[in-house]
This record gives sequence, C-alpha cells and structure tokens, in this order.
Amino acid sequence: MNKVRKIESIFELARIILALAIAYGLSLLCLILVTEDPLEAVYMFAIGPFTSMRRFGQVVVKFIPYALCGVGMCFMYASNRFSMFGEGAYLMSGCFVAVVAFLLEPFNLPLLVMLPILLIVGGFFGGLIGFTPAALGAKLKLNELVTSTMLNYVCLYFSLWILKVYLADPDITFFASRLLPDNVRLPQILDRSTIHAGLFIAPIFIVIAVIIFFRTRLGFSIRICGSNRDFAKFSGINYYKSIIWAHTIGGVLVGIGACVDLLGIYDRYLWNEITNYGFYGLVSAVLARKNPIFAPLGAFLLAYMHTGASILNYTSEVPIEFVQIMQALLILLISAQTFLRKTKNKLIFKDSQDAIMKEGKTA
Amino acid sequence: MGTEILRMENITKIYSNGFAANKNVTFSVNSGEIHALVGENGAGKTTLMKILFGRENFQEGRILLKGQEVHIKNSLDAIGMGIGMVHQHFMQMPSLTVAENVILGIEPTDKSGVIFDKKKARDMTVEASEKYQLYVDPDAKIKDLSVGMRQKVEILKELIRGIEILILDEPTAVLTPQETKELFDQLRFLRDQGYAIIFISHKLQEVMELCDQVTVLRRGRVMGTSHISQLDQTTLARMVVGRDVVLKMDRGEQNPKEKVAEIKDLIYQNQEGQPVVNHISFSIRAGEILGIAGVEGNGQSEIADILSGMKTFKHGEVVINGKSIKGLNVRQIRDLGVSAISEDRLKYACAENLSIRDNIMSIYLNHKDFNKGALLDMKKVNEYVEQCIKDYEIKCDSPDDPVRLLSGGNIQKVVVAREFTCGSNLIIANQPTRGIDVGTSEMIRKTLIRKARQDDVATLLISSDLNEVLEVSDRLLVIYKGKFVAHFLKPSEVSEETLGEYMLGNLQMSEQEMGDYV
Amino acid sequence: MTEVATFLFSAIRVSTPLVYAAIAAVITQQAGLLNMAVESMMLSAALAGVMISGATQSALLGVLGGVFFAVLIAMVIWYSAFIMKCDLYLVSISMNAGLVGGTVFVMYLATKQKANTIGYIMSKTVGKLDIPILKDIPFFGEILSGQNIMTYVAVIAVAVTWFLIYKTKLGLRIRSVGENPSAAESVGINPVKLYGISFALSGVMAGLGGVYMSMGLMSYFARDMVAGRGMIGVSAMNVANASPAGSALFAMLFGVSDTIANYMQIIGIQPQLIAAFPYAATIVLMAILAYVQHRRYQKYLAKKLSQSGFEI
Repeated sequence: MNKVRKIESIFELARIILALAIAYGLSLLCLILVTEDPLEAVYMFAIGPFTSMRRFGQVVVKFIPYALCGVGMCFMYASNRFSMFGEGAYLMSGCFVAVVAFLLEPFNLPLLVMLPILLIVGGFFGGLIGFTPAALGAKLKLNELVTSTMLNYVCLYFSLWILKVYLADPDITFFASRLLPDNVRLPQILDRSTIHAGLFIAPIFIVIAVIIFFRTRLGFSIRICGSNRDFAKFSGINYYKSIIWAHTIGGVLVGIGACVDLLGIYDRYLWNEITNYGFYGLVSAVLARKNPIFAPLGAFLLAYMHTGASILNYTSEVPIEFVQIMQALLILLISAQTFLRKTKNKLIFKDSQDAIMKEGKTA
Repeated sequence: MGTEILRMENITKIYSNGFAANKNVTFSVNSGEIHALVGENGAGKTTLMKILFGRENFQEGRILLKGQEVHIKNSLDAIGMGIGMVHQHFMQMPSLTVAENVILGIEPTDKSGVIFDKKKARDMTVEASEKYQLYVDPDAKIKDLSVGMRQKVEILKELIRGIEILILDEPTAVLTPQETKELFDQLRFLRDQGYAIIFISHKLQEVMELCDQVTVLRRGRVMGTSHISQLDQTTLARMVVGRDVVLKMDRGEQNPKEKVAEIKDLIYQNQEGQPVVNHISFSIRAGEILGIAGVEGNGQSEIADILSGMKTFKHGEVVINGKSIKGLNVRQIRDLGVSAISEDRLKYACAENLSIRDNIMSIYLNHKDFNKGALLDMKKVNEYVEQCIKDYEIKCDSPDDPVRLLSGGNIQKVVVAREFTCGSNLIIANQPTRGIDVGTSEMIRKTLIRKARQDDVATLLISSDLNEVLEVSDRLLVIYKGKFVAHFLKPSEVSEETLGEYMLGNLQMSEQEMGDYV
Repeated sequence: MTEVATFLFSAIRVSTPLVYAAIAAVITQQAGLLNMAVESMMLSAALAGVMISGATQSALLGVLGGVFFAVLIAMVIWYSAFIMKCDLYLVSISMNAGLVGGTVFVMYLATKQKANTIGYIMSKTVGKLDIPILKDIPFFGEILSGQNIMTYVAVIAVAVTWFLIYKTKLGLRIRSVGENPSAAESVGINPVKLYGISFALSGVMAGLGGVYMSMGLMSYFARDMVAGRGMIGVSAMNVANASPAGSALFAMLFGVSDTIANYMQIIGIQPQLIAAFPYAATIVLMAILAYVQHRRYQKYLAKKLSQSGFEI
C-alpha cells in the first residue's frame, strides 16, 4: 500500500521532470537550428539568467506575478471547470489600479495607505472577471471557456478605451498613461536589479491562498467538487457556489498579481494587448499538479525560461515567442495520462503481486 | 426444444481487487427456449454476460458456441457470432429515427458507398419488423417513443444483424404492465422461431410466467439450473435470496422511543413517470432499526434517496425531527440530523483522488467543532480523522493517502466512520455491506446495533442481504412495487420462505395484520 | 439604399471567417466534442497561407497549405486528447495560447518582424468574383456579387457540411457517436476513429476560415489576427444547437454586430469601445438564448412527466 503511493508519487515527479527535459531539449534543438551561433544561443537560454544580477532580477520580477497567477489558476484547475479569465482579469486589474492611483494622486497618501487600496482594487476587478463566466455557467449553463475568452477581448478593448480617454499622456509619442505617481511605486529592494517589494507582498497572498485551499471549508469544498461532483452533492456541498468561489478567488489572485506587477516595474500603464498571464498561471498550476504550494515552483521555472528566452531575444534576436510552443508541449506531456503509465502500472502490478504472494505465504 | 447452442463452462472470474464475481459457473442455453438468469444485484449475472460479450476476460473456463470453443474479444465479435444483447439502458440515439438506429453499423449506401440510402434503411426496417412482428414506425424519432416502443426497436436492431441468441437485461424494469404483456408475446413468438433467449431478471413472477429454464446465481455461484415446470415460486425465491448460513446477531434489548422520522403518503415518480414509490407511509423511532426488505428495484432506493435529500419529491410529506424536509437541500437535511450510506460507494460516497482526511471531512465543513473563526481547526480535524482511522480500523499509512489506494472494505470503513460519528440521530443505511468482506460487514452491523442501543439513533436499513435485514432489524417492512406488503415485529423469527413470498408479491398482509407501522 | 447595400456587403465580408469557424465547431460538436481550438487552427492556417502563397506565388497553393496546417493542428489535438489521454479542454487552451506565440515565432524567422508581414512577404490573395446576371440586379447585386471567392466557398462549405452530416453514412456515424458513444461502439463503430475524422474535417473548415483572414479579408498576416473569431464561431454553433445552417446564420448575426460597430465610429464613438462591442454582444446574445432554451426544456420535461401512462 505504502509502496504503491510511493511509486505513484515518484512517477508523478518523474513525469514532470521528463516532460520538462523533453520540452527544454526540444527548445534547445530548435535554437540550434535557427541561430547562426548555436552555442552562444544555448548558453544564453540555459544559463543566461544567472550571468548577472540584473538578469536574475528579471527572473524574480517575472516570478512574482506568475506565482500569484499560478496559485490563482490552481483554484480554477482544482475545481475541474476550465475558464480562461486570467488574461482579462490581469488587464482590467492593471487598468483600474492605474485609474485609482491617478484619482487619489491629489491626496498624496503614503504608499502604505495606497498599497492596500490598490491591492483591493486589483483584487476586486480580477475577481469580477473570474466571477462572471462562472456565474453565467452556473445560472445559464454557458460554457465558461467560451464566455471567458470573449470577456477577455471585452476587457482588452475596454481597458484600451479607458487608457485612451482617461489615462493617456498626450506629451509622449507612444500610447501610455502619464507617469504613475510616486506614492504608489513599490520600492526596489536590491541595487542593480529591478527586484521590488512585491517579492514580500506576493508571499503574503500566496500563503493566504494556500490556507484557503487546504485549511478552510471553502478550500475543502472546491477540492471535493472538482474531484467528484456527485459526492459533493451527497455531502451537502453546494457545487455551483464552490465553483463560482474558486473562479472568483482565482481572479482575485490574478488581479493582485497584476497590481503588484504594475506598481513594481512599470513607470506608466501601457498594456495594450492580450497578456498571457492566465495561461502562464495555468502552466504553473499544471506543473504543480493543482497544488498551490508547488505552484510558485512551477512559476519560477517558467520565469526562468522566459528570462532565458528574453535574454536570447536581445542578444541574438531569436524571438521570445518560441517558449510559448514549449509551454504548450509541457502541458501536453504532463497532462497526458498515458505518458509513462505503462511503466508505472507494471511496477505497481509487480508490487501488488509480491504483496499477494507474501500474504499467500503467511496465510 | 432445440439443441444446445451456447455453453459457458466452469467460468471463474476474479477481479484485480481480488473480488471473485463468478466461481466455477456453468451455464448453457438451448435454441428455442427462454432461459432465465436470475439473482440479486452483485450475484454475478452482469459479469457473466460481460464475459460472453468479450468485455471482461476471465481466468478459467471456456465458452462453446454450437459445440465449438470460441474466443470472443469484443462486442463486435459477439454480434458476429450471433449473440445480441438488449441492455437495460438502451443503446440508442434519441435524435435519430427508428430506421437509422436499427441499421447503424450496417448502413446501406448507394453505389458510391458514401451516401446513406435512407429509403433502403427504411425498407429493411419495415421488412424486419413485419418478419419478427415487432411493429414500429420507421420514421419516428426515438426520443418521441415510449419505453416499450424503444425496446422493440432495440430487439429489432439485434435481430436484423442475424443473431441467434438474444440476451435481455431486466427488460421489464421500465415497462407498464400492458407493455410487459406485449413483450412476453413477442418473446414467445421469437422462441417458437427457434431463437435462444436469455432473460435476466429478478422479478420471479415474470420468470415463472415466461421462461422455460432457469439458472440461479448467488454470490457468484450457480445455485441450480432447472426446468420451470419442476419448480414452484417459493423454491425459486429461496434459491435466489436464501441464506448460505444463518447469521446470528446479538441485538440486545430494544427500547424504541419517540418518532424521529415520519413519512406520510409519499409518492415518487421516475423520469418515465412511473410511480416507483406509491403512497407510502411509515415512521422510524429513536433507538430502533427499521429494515426494509424487497427485491431490488421496488422503490427502496428511492426512499433512501428522498430521505437523504438526493431526490426531491412533490407528493406526500416527510418529517424528520419535527421538520418537513420538502424542498430542503442535502445540507439542510443533514443539518436536521440525518446521515446516509449510499449504495453506490464510488459514485456518491467518496472522492477517490482525495485523501482520507478530505473524504471524512466532507460533511463536517460547516460543523462548529471544526471551525475556528474563518479557518478549520486542523488540529481537531487531524485528531478526529486519526480517531476515525483507529476506531474503525482503517488500514492505511496516513490520513493523506488517497482513497483510491484502499480496498473496497476500507473505503466503506471511511464512509461509515464519517457517517456514524457525526452525531446524527437518523441513519439511512442503503446496502451498507454490499460487496464487502465478512469482517468489515460484521463490524458495520455491530456498530449499527450499538448506535441504536447506546445513542438512541433511529436507523433505516435497506439491504438485499437477507441475513442482514432479518438479524439486524428490530422491525421489518417488505416492499413490493412501491408499496409495503408486510410488516414483521420480530424479523429474526421470520423464515426466509415466508419473507420470499411477500417479497415476490405472492402474499400481502391485510391492514390488521400489518398493525401500526405508520 | 446604397448605404444599406454597402452595410450588408461588408457584413457578409466580415462574417465569412465566423461562418467557417462556426462550421468547424459544428462538425466536432456533431461528434459530441466541443472544439475550443478552432482559434489556433485558424491562426496557423492564416500564417501558412501567407507564407506558402508568398513563396510559391500561387494563391491556390497558399490556401491548400493553410488548410493542411490547420488539419495538422487538429490531428495533434486529437492525438493528445484521445491517444495520449490529455484533457481535451486543456490541450485546446494550450494550443490556442501556444500558437499565438508560435505563429509569431515562425513569422519572425521568415521576416524578422513581430507585428505583421506587410511589405515583407509578397503573398497572394484570393480574388473577388463578379457573378454574371446577379451583379446586374439592383440592390441584391450590390450585396451578393463581387464578394471574395472564399465567401462563396463558405456558402458551399455550409451546404457540403449539411449534406455530409445528414445525408452520408459517415455523417450518420458521426452523429451517432456524438449522441451515445458507447451505443455506437456496441454496433462496431470506433468512436476514437470518428473523433479523428471529425477533427480533421473541422480542421479543413477552420483552415479555410484562417486562410480567408490573411488572404481575403486582409492581405497579410498579423499577430493574433484571429482575435477570438474562432470562439465566436463556437458560440454561434452553441446557440444554434450545432445545426450547420443555423450556426452559419448566427455567425452572420455576430458578424453584423461587428459591422454595426464599424458604423458606430461614424457617429463618434471611440474605436476601442466599438471593438469590444461584438464580443460583448456575443456574450449577451448567448445568455439570452440560453435562458430561453432553458425555459423551454423545463416545460418539455414537465409535459413529458404529465403525459406518462402510469397511474398514481
């Protein structure tokens, strides 16, 4: 029994590592084929993030929102109903955080007052975008995935409209808001890198989320609903309520991620296309096998790969986008039930055969 | 009567979890006969038929068709060898027409081989329906047809494929009496044409009326094969539901108190509109175990589902601890003090991929003992779960083990630990020991009795295991076709023959005999 | 009159890719699968069409190449979901997200550009078609004639799809698998194989839609140029209950809302709000239709129960 569980968890880990290795290997192969200086490219992609403090700082700066989105998407993934609210939630939160930051600028409040307000704003709009498709799904049986994708475009154009009408800076040549007020900018915590105080803010929310996931009624309900809907009903758990909560919390976390990201590294609000943060969150959640404790780990791996790719992008002009294909491949390999299944079953079968033999002898 | 067409010889099937579904089963069918295969759920009928259809492999034995040994790998093979089956849940496409359903898989096409020839399909259907006297409208859509009609389509679909052996899995379960009569006439007609028909059922009256031969399975073994004319219904009943050994339980002194649950004039209609529970009234008192015996499918499961809130009812009244449960959801009903053991363990009673802790906690999430402010008090949760594991001897390494790694008996222990210790004063135990090892079964039964005696819990026990209902219950009601037909105050003194007569609807108590059970 | 005709003309023009997307969704839905990846199939076809027609200087080869790549994506999804047993939704999501970047990557390798291919790939476009006689009929001629050839192909595609689903042996099998896979299996039909066929056909339709985006509606490939049109197609299929003609009509209705959005610009509404309009309209319309359907279904159930022949 114990052995079966051990074999299972070892294989779970082996699968993830092997999937990572395959995806990473294929990307390297791809690099070798498309660049003129393959050695340099591979070096930059694989080791690049460690070559300077500034570069490692980029990893950390990326990691902060990825981790929050990853934990958020764990809630959605664990509820076993897919909704891609992440992109819309990210845009809307960022946009309204900027709006509120400018609105409150005349009061010149200290950062310690502004930050909670903006986090609430970010969380609220993120949650709203997570909530909407889930509620429509619960009430009208609309497919959350379709609705959320549509909603993402609504969010994109709506935020662009707000940017254009209320935020845009007429004195600059590119499409962006005025400079964000100083009283909302997160301080940098390390010289010569962009690492900002968000590194301390994100863990607070991740810990809260993990506690919700494992230590509260709601977390239990979400996991039970995602695992067996009939059992949830039999236990007296309200299925749709749990799903709506799961997606709303997911949205809140993505929104907080957007808020921290915006205040940490941007001078101006300038997001003008569909971000992929929801998807990055999902990749982290898949890597973490729905467990929010491990989601930051997945997020870190992702941030590392993205940084490697972006270093490559400006050292050798290989476009950063190739990691997107790699991520798709990662999801395929990790979520494939048949990947390594035969080997696993063989081992478990052998183990239980041994057990039966032993029992037979003692009986 | 024709010659032997099918013979399944010494079939033994042991599932990978060690459960032996068929033990040395020999089953043979002649052409031109209707052969009944009877037994309770879990007796091994389904497994035997799955083996015949190539859906399950088996460890020992062989299958002979017309004297030749055959190896059936899948259902297509089975059809090719002339074996057809009408499943309980029809294998049909509701939005397609009758003709399209009948010819699916052997579609006629035009010369190109691409375009489906609807007219030919229609002609084939009409021709076959005349040949076999199964008159159906080829252009009607399945979803507009009655269940009886749909069944005819299903039979026609098998016959048109040129089968010689027709298996019907509980065909009358969803039919009205008139439809049943019609079906029997058609089956007799087919028999006279030389078809071999295997009729799976647990409605013994129908078996007596229709069939020529009968084979009875119980707990995976053949209890006997015999010609119907050599049997009377009582003997047959005893073969089906009888006890292998008489189990004696020490039930102690019973001391029933106030009524915990009162059910008045309850009616429940299934999706076809059939009144599965028909004007039923009864009550359960604190400190007593009320058993309901009956052949499966007579409405007992629906009663359990209504009392636990899984099914809603429109007519009648159910009062638990002084409150009507009409319109309440599962949570509200559980909060009134109800806990339930479901007959389908894996579907309703656990989440296989979650840990033992999560499974035990599922019904306690709102319990004030386990909540400390907004959080669950994990220390108490863990203590409680550990206590459950210890008290109910759940074999596991840690409360974090996912339930799917446990054996069936241990999963049921998790379920029972959860439902028995939640402080409820009404337990709905629907098949609490089905498919479970002897040791665990005994533990569960003893706990049921202890809960009633020590904690004054009211228990509704529904079981197809006669030992269980006769020995564990303080009172016993017998249900037949959605109505109670008998009421015993001393179940352990009831003979199984007597019980069988009531379960089959041969006998019915008068109002006076029933006494006060409402 | 001319304004109305121009409006309708451009409505048809804008609706064409949505019709293809809807048809692509219809084919898999008939087999019981929701195709969330129409989006990525269209996107890869759009890029492949531009690149291949640019390289070969043949519009026809561009179209065929685009379709080929869409089918390829469809087959990858099918293989992952049904042979490797991944969650179909998860695969579709990762394809949609992965291929937005993936197409940009390939575009960059070819052109060193990341936004679009204007001026870098001299790709061909599919021409317009003036229909004799029809073009001389006033009003109707203005609307229906002179559209892109791919638009007329879309009409044919709807008809072919209808014929395929309702009149052929394959269509019957696809529908039966969609309704009850285990029943289909019991009569010897292999559901996994049919899922593959329907995904491939869906890929063909999505591919045509994608190629139209970059070789008809536009004459270049741009980053994320499909922009949710695949999902709008899926929504249209959803509200029309997977009927080919109905889905095409709903797709056109969504296309009209797109055109209305363009006209709103004239009365001075900000272009960003206008761009959001078709998506918002889709959600609202879907919600309303779902509500109506839900009510109707409840009534049907109640009626069925009261009609049963059992006595209580």
